[in-house]
Amino acid sequence: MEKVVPKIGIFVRDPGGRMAASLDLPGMLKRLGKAKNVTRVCLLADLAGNASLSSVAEGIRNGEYDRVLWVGRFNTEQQKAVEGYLEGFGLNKYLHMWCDIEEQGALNQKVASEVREKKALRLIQMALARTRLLEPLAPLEIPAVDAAMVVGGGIAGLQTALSLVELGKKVHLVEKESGVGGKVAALHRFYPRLCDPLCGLQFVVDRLRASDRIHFHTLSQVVSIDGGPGRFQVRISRRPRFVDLQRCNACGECVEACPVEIPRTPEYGAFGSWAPLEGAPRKAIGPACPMSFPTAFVVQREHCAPGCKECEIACPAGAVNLEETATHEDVEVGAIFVTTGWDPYPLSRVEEFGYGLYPRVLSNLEMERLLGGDLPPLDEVGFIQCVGSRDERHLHYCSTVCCSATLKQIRFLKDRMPHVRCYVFYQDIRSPGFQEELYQEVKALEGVIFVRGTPSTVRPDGDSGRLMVRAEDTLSGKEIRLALDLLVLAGGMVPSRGTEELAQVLNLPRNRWGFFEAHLQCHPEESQRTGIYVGGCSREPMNVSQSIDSAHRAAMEGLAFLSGTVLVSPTYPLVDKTKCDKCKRCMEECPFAAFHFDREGFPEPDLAKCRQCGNCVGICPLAAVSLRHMTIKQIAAQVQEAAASFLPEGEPQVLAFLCQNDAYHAARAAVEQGLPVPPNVIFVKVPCAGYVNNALIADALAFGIDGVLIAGCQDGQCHYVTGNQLVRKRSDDLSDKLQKMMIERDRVRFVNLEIRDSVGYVELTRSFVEELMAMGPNPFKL
Amino acid sequence: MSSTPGLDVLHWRIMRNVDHPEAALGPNREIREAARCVQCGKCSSGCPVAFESVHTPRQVMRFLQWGWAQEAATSPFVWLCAECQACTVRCPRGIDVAETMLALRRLARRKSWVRPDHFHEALEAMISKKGRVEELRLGVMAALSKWPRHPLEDLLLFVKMLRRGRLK
Repeated sequence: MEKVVPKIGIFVRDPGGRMAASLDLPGMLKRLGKAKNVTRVCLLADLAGNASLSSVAEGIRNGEYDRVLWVGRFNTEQQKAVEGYLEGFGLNKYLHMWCDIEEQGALNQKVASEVREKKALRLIQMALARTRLLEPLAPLEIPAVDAAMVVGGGIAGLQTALSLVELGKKVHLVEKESGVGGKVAALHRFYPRLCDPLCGLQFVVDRLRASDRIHFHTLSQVVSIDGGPGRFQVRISRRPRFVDLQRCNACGECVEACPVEIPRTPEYGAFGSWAPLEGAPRKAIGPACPMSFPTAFVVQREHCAPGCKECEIACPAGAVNLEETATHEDVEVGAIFVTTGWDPYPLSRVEEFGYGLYPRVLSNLEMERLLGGDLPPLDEVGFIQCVGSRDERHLHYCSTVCCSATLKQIRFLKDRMPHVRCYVFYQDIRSPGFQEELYQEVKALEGVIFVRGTPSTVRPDGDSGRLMVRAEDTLSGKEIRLALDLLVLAGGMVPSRGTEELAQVLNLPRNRWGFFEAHLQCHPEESQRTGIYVGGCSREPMNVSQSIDSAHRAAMEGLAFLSGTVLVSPTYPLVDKTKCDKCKRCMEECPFAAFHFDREGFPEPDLAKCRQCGNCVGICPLAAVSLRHMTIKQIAAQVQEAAASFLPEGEPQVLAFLCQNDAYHAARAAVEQGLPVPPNVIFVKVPCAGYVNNALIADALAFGIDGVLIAGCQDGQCHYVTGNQLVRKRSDDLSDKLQKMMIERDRVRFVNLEIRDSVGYVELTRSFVEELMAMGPNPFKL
Repeated sequence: MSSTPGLDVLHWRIMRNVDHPEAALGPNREIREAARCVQCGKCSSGCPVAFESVHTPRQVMRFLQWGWAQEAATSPFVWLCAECQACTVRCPRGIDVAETMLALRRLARRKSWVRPDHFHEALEAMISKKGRVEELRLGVMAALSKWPRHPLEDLLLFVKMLRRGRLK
């Protein structure tokens, strides 16, 4: 390849003459003009009139320079305007370099003028060094499929699908059961509006059904996934339904013909047989569950009598086929939405309340069924809150819905049986926001008593079948003894059964309680795998309205991968195959699992998955990985320039690598606030502390810089999950390296810095400089 | 902003050692555990003796959260506790409540907030001296160590117990 000699134009902008006031500007410009590759140096009057910009453009047109270094303070709007204007004259956006010497304190009048001059020159030389290595780049466009996949057909999944369908996307909805609706379909009412959830579900389903962009995959599971965001290839396996979805019109002839009766059991929890259940006994063939959508019936083959073909004979439409086998289907989607929901915590594990032992102890989901059907005669009903939740032996977290669910159940129970006395045993009632209204309403009902205290055991009361409960009312310190007709346990939420399997298939990290890991704060629905979004209770316990909220948010967040093309900024990592020895460390350390092997066995980033944090750059022991536009070479050139001394003899020189998300802003703010920042520090902005390769640190020390400072986020706050901690992990390697170089380990310091902590930055740099002073000069110093 | 407590509050703080609850509680790990208690009352609900006492175990835990070690250790409940461990098994925070009660008894004895009665003093002395208990000698020692002595009553009781085979 022909080597292109860069030609650089340097333009200095100094509105108000602030630079001229503290520096010998004409002298500096003269010196810069003599620097290598510099073909033009010019002091710009102002940007506002296009006169000065057109003079810059003139130079580009006649080939005087092919890249531009801007010195001075430019805000983002000005930068964008300049870049846009000059793009029209053929200057690539990535051939601009912006150098603000003020943010590094080079204009600080309190510093000796000699130091000031030299530091300013150093900073411009550093920028110049990087400018020489700039390359023209263009953003990439990766084709994306405008279809999405939603895993889980509960309320969250349906709402996500609806959101996407209405935005014009195709949706594949995968549901493990024979019908959609999930847990919410089994509820009697849901708060805050206390309406029937079936109404809400039906509303969504009807709108979905009307669309030709939705495809329901019931009795299905995701078995494998390949490809990346924008073009996931997903294989869905489908269990046989034994009934043709197209032909069956749910006439019910088959149900009458079916000789097998399955005793009705409550949908959730194995026990609770005391609760009378509505409806006729189920048959082996019948409508889909939990909601009868899709309308086609389903055969529960495991209940069938051997050789029986009654339904097949009875069906007038010829829809039943008992010989159907499992099939699979491959679909291509741009993004995946995981809304696998929750399961109730197995209450029999909370032994002390006798769930499964006494028929009058019910879970709150069984109570929902009871409220939906005929109520048995009741006088005294107890509700125990936080069963399994907020308990070190069971679930450590609060399941968030159980308090309001109990309040809602009491309200409806009192509606139907006003004479019933209700006792709620609670630790804290958590009814956030407007749910407080429901709490106050229920609290004011006659015969509803809130007992702040949890019973320890439940015993049967002789032969009467009632339950004896003893508790301390902690507010009065008095003992409460009650004989109850019914005890309802407000059980907790755990991730649904299929969660673990799906996590393995999709390679999704889960938190210590088994829910899918997400940032929870800045991008709540974004999982750690780009292109895969998690919504509803698969992420965190939440109630129906929060689930719907989360579902729509997930759809919005995922839209980027469904719009035909995925736009990738060209600053992505590249692996230098001549250097790489396939050690795979970049693959392991990547917080977003963006790397895969190419055909030759080299790691290759999936550009749509990559979030360009540069942790792969930092980890590579051979410095073979580089972020484009911020290559190792460019930074190394800057480091080399930074090494030349600008301080009086004996003063230690510090190079700081600052995370651009917070430490950089703290440092900038320190200068702007006029805090006494030591002039000894020159900093380089990096995308994440994890970007800083050990080779850069070793370089800096070898060139004679006295100390290196790396500042990243606080633990657990890094936007790239653990970038800040990865640096510390690598410090052992670094120690070995430094030992070989005969350099003290303490010359490199890693710190956490928050975005507002400008005072902390000043203290930090001061103490570091003092320490280095005591340590003496770097032995490599020339 | 620091608020200046009124004189009476200040006095109360010194009395209760609120500002330095650790100093009042001593180095007992079990007692420090009380800070994790959420006051759910499950310990009291399952306790066989709680409602015979002035305080429930939950209230004892509450005293400890304030740093009121003496109130806690001298509560009748601590001394009534049967060490059945029902509270420990049920505690949702995983606090060893029964062990806390034992720790409080030890604390009370160490700080001389309680004094054993003459019988227990005699028993303690005998065990620490000989390692075993002789009932007859214990009876005599207990009878002699109490004040005022009731020799006649004790003799009658002795005869009664002999006759019923309660003493060998």
